[in-house]
Parts: sequence; C-alpha cells; structure tokens
Amino acid sequence: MALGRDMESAAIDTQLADWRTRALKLESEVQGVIVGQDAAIRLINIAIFARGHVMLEGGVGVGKTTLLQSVARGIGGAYERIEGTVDLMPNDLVYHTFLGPEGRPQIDEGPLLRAGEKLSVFFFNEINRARPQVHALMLRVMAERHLHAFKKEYRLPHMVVFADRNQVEKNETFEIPSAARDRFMMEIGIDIPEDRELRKSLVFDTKFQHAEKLTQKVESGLLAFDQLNDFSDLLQNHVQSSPALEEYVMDLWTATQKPESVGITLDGVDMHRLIQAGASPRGMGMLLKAARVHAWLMNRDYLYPEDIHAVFHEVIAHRLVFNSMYESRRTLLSRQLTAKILETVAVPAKS
Amino acid sequence: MKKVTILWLMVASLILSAAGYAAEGPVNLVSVLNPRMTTGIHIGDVLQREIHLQSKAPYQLSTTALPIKGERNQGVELVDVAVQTDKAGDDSRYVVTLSYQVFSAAKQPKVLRLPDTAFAFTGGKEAAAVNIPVWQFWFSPLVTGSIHTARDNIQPQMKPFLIETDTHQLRFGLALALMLAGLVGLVYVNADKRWLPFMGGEFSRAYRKLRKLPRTPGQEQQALQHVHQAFNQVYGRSLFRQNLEQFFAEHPEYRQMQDEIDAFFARSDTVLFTTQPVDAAKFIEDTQQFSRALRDCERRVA
Repeated sequence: MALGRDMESAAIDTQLADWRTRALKLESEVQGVIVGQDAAIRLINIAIFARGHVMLEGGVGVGKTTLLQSVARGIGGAYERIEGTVDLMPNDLVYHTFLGPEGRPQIDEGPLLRAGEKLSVFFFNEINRARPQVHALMLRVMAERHLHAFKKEYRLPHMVVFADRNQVEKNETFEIPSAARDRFMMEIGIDIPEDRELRKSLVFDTKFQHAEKLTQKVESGLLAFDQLNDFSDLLQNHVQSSPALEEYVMDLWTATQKPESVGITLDGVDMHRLIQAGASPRGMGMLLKAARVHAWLMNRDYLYPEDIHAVFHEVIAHRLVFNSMYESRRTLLSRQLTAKILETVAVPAKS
Repeated sequence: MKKVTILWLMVASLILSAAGYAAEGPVNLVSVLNPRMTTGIHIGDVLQREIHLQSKAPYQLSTTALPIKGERNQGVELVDVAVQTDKAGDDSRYVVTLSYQVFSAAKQPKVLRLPDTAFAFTGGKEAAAVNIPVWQFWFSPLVTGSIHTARDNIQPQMKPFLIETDTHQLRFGLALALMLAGLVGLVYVNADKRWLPFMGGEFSRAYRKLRKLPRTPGQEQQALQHVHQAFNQVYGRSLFRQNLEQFFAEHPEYRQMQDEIDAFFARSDTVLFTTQPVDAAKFIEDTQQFSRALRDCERRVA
C-alpha cells in the first residue's frame, strides 16, 4: 500500500518536473522574441498554468499582440483574434455571414467557435472599444467555457482569453464593468522597457520589424494545450499552504476591503471612502491559484509569501472597486494601494 | 638722640652688608643656603649650611683656615666639612658644606646658633676673607617643662613646600574616566534596558521577549514573530526575504550579518510555511542568540 503511494508520488513529482521544464522553456523561448518583458512573460505563464484569463494593459505598439501570438504558438492549439470596435456586436463573435460561391448567403462560425475545442487562445484586442453587450457575452464564455449556437453546444474547455485595453484613449470606449473585470485572473501591464540598450535594440534591430517572423521563432506546441487543464488540477492539489500563510492571505484580503483598518494611508486619499468593494472570494481564489503556480515554477511544494507577492498586484488591482471620485486615478491608486498592503500586512501577524 | 644713633648704625650696617654681598671683588660670597626649618630641631639633628664662594686668581680658598671638624659651640658641634672646587679660567667657585649636629641637652626650648664663620683666601697681595653670619634656630627638647618661653619667642617660618599633585590628579582622573567608560560600555553591551542611545531598539526588545519565551513545541511561531516584528519596525514596512538587499542598503549596520539574516529568513520560511519538523528548544535558543547578535548590530557594538 505504502509502496503504491510512493510510486504514485514519484510519478507526480516526475510529471511536475517535466511540465516545469516545459513551462520554463516556453518562457525562455518567448523571452528570446520579446525583449524587456520578462516579468510580464512570467505572469502570462503563470496565468496559463492557473487556467486564468488575462487582460493586458499598455500603450499602442509596445508588443502586446506579438507577445500573445508568441505565447499562443508555444501553447499550441488554435489561436483566434478579434478587434474591439464600437460597432462590434456579440453575434460577430459567434458567426458571420457571407455570400457563397453560388451567390447565396451563408453562415459560418465566428472566431469564438471556429476552432471548437482546439481553441487555446482567444485574443480580444482593445476590448474596451466593444460595447457592454459584447463584454457580457465574453464574460459568460470566460466563466462557463461553452456556448450554445447553431442548435448545439460548443465547448471551449482549453480556451484562455487574452484581452487588451488601451487606457490612454478614452474616446469611444466602454469601461469594462467590475463583474467582467473580475473574470480576468490578471491584468498585466505591458510597458516600454526602461533599459536604454533594450530600447535601442527595439528601434534599430530590424528583426523586431517583422512580428510574424519573430513569433515563428517560438517552438510550436511546447505545452500540449489539451493537457493543461488536467495538469493544472494536479498542480493546484499538489502545492500546499500552511496555517501561517492562510492567516496571511486572510489579512491581505481584509486589507483590500478595509485598508484603513490596517493603518494604510495614501497621499490625498480619504481611506474610508476609497474602496467600494475589495477583492472578491473568486479573486482571492484566483490569487491562490496563481501563487501556487508561482511556487511550482520556483520548484517548491509549499506556498511562500513571495508567491503571493509575485502575483498580488496583477491579480487584485483590477478587482478593486473604487469610489467614483477616485476611479479616474485607478491605475495609480491601485498600484499604490497593493504596494502598501504588501508593505503593511506582516507575517507572522502581530499577536 | 641715642635711639636715632642706634637706628643710623643699623641702617649703615645693613647697607654695608648688602654692599659686601653684591660687591664684585676678587673674593665674593655667592650665596648661603641655611637649613630650611628654624624650629622643631631636636638633639641629634644634623644641620647643614652650604656656602657658595667665588674668587678670582690669584686668590684661593685657604683650606687650612677652614673651620675644624669637632668644634663645639653651645651644644652644636661641627661634624663634617666638605669643600667642592670648580675652576673656570681665573674664576674659582667653592661650595663649602658645613654639617653641624645638635648635642644640646637643654630641657626648655632654646635659641641655638650655627656659629659665624670666616673663610680666608690666600695668594693675593692682601689677605682676603669672607664672613658668614650666625644662623639662629630654635632647639626643641624632647621633654619640655614649659612652652612659655617658646611662645614669647615665636617667629615666622617659611611656608612648607607643597607636594606637586597635578600629575597624580590627572592620572587619577584619567583612570577614573576609563573605568567609568568601561563600566558604561559593559552595561551598554549587556544590559537589556533602554536608557542609553540605541538601547531601546527593536531587536533589544525582541531579545528580551525571547528570553522569557518557554522553549516548548508550538512556540516557534511566536519566536519568529518577535524577530520579524523587530525587522519590520526597523525597516518601516514588512520585510521579506526578497527585500533584504533594500534593507541592507537602508540599514548598513546590519550588512555584516547579511548571511545570517538571509539564513534566518530561509529558515523562517521553512518553519512557518512548510511542515518540516523542527526542534523547538534549539530553534528558539538559536533565534534568541540571533536576536542578541542583531541587538549588538543595533547598538553598533558588534
């Protein structure tokens, strides 16, 4: 009996190690293509293994699409993409009509359904340009991973949604409601690299002018997309958390809801009026999922606070609902608040 | 009229005497050093007069005319005569030391005297001499019948020389200051209280709490909590292992313990966040020693 358990444990360890090698390989492959975005690549990798949807935030032309195409290539499976526009309607995701060779109108599956179960990455570009109706559809698909259309059920079990939004331009955009934001596991900022040499390389190195060629350099199908769900379950069950860490996470959660109760202050902010809603239980669950993946990538079987820290801002910040008077400063305040929470909440907690 | 005459005679003798001392003749008295004390002299005491003389060639001190050893005058006997001669060109300098011993057996305080002495110089055309006046002193009998006589004859005495104590005082002060500094240093290093600079530090407090913590299983987290709280207080925010470099940059006094601190955080992670068993007593003891070392860093005495 004990021998059986040992063998099973050894098999799990082997599986974990094997997948870790592949995950790190994916990271290094993408890092070879996208320079100066190591942190973002690590976070995307975590989201993939935590089976979470990701929202990318960043300016125009910083390489978000290239990054996602590279990752999608590494994951394997089908990659679909749609552009968010003000006239985009939900049915544009589900089907599209066209005139067939015989001149008769035909209906075909839209980008969301076209690949069926093989869809691994769905990229929604500039999601905040789409109308709330579209957000609602996406929200449902992201949560349920299936859709009823053409009188049948389309399952999308391996789909991960990557969306991006441009926070700079506000014209003809629709703010994504907090309920929709909450479905995204992470919001990852993609910024222009600070390093001068990297910037020079991005400007002068001609290889960065051909995004398609760049993505082709990533080895295809590194991760076997259709096994990711099962492996994610295995991983989540494997990485353990101690009572001290659980208490720490509870304290962090409280701090997202009532930052003033743990003594957090921000310049020029009435802390009692800042937060309308802190992190949701789903958000905290996603935080732990992502943190476990980080622990696994760091070759640990137990969660450490650094695993929480590694994903805290990206998982929590976009879930915080600020009072409307502070909503316009969301990006800055959320960054300051999550940083302050991590600085203030101690582990082990004061007795 | 008689009084005026006596007064005139005294003044004249003083002037002549002073002129004799100061005159630059072939033979001169340079100085006379009499015994320092003029009172309290008992039977058996030896008193010395040191006479410094000077002569120019061809005059020389006549050694045959010196006072003769053994001469006794009113109970005072000349017991030794020593002459030291120093010649430099035409000048000769003499130091004549006359040692007198008191043999008086008087039962009352009594004025005795070292007798006047004349030193003859020969070699010149004319005889020359230098006279040394009498030197009086009070003889004190070992057994006295009355001191009335002494009271009647009290005379001022030279103030006694004081022993030079400045150097000793300085040395004593320095030694005292060193001892005090040492004591303060010992207290500073070893005391747990908080009445000196840096003494009320966070690690000092943690060390105090750890000393009181029972070394029993289940107390490891409490021990860690004390030390982590101290780190957080010093850092001004929660300190985690990945922030240690920033911590050392802000608090370089702890950099000398960089390896130990890093090891502590690693160990803390293991104890707090894994199920790895730990020897509670040893762990708490180690944590206490670690906090003591941190306290020394905090006090800048490590």
